Amino acid sequence: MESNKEKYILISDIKKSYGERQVLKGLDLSIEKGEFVAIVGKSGCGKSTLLRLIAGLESNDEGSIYMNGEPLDHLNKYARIMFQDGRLLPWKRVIDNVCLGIPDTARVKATDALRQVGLDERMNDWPSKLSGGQKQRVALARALVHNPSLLLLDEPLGALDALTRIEMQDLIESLWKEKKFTSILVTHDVEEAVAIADRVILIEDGVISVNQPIRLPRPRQRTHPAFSMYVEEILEKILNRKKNKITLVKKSRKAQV
Amino acid sequence: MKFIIKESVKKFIPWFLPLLLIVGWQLFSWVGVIPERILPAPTKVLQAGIELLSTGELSSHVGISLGRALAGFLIGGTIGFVFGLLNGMFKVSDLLFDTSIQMLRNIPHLALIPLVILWFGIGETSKIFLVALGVLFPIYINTYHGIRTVDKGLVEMGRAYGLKGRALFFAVILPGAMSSILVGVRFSLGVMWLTLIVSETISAHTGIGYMAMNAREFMQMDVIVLSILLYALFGKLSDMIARFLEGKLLQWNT
Ligand SMILES: Nc1ncnc2c1ncn2[C@@H]1O[C@H](COP(=O)(O)OP(=O)(O)O)[C@@H](O)[C@H]1O
Ligand SMILES: [Mg+2]
Repeated sequence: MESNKEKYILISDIKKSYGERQVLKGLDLSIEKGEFVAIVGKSGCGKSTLLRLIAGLESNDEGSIYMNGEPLDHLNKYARIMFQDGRLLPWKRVIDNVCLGIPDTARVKATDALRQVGLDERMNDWPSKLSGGQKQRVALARALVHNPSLLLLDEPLGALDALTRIEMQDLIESLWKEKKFTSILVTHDVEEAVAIADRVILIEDGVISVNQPIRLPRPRQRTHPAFSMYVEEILEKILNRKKNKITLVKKSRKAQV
Repeated sequence: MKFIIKESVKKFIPWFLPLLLIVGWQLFSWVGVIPERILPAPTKVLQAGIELLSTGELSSHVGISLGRALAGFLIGGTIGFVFGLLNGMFKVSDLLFDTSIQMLRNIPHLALIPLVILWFGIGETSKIFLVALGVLFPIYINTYHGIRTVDKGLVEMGRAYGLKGRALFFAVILPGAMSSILVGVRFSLGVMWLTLIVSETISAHTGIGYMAMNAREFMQMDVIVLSILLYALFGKLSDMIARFLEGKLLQWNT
């Protein structure tokens, strides 16, 4: 069991079903402390489910999850999750959303977190007055204020326009570098995964079918030939294309899964 | 041509028709088109109001009616609210109470008047009981529905951020149910007046409804019309209260 303790997160053979439908079918995954892992896979393959299991919001049917060497039961106290749809409370002002779950005395920390995402000037606005990108930045601040050692990101940039997306990716990457938390990002954009992660994981048929470390220096140049090689390789595996069809993939490099 | 409506004029517009009606009514009464025994002139009604006010009769009836309305609303509203919350949040309570409450709801509460008079006589209790009963169901249903339809994603988010019990209730569940609860409040304020009018008219020694019924015996048309106008006024007032609450509690929704 000694090796379990070295891994920050150790997931072995977890299974999870909803009704008749088995979503995760014996999935194994281990993550080092401080690592940035991106999870890709077709819609409905169980990416959110895996993330929610790691967050402790749901429990697995079989298998085990070890967190920091301890079996995970109930809510994962190390983790904070950021959702696809932001999930800001519409009836709380921006600052009060960020203060969620922290003591009143820690309001200063909330202001700091808002400053880090560049939204301290909007702290007294209602969430409905913010743009999609701004809402996600508030959601990011809300997660950061807890100083999580594990940040779970469930397609947080999915609904944003291309420019805002790249801006947010840079923001997340710089915060990750600065605060040294471990991060798991679910995304449907392979390019995004390669741009930001140390390792890209593909979930297919309820298990991990690809586990691809990305050995590129940061900050990553999207124009770098190795960059597009990684993207193509992963896309190819997702789409199950043979080598001779790669040209197709090349044409639509922004192809989304 | 373009009309630019000033703010001050905008405020006046909704009152234009009622005012026109009163002026027309007054004019027709003067000319004699509307006979006094059908409908007394507005000035006559006003005069009756001033007279009753000077004897202290009016304020005592109005005070009693308002007291009944308020007491019934608070009692019925609290019971409906509490059951709505409990049944919305807890399975056991839902299974135990919801079916029974839904069955009771289908009895028109005004149909209970004869029974209520036999139980409580025509004193205060019977009126407050009826108002409370009428108010209970709209508040219950809308609270229940509001709690049930709170965004599950937000509840999950709250839990993920360490909220539970009271904190989760006050930060996520109650505010999430609030707009539905206020729909219930608005509706039940209407039911409150209706119930009060009917029960005071049928059986009472005091209150606006009694004042009207009593005036009928003496053919005091002006007092009858005055009572009706009072009800209209209070209806408008409770609507304003509901609007005020919505503005305050649903500020974020504007
Ligand atoms: N609470 C739930 N109840 C029933 N089915 C669910 C639930 N959550 C997810 N599923 C199903 O599990 C599968 C995986 O969902 P999810 O993990 O959200 O996929 P994605 O990879 O797109 O994030 C989907 O088919 C989805 O319909
Ligand atoms: Mg998902």
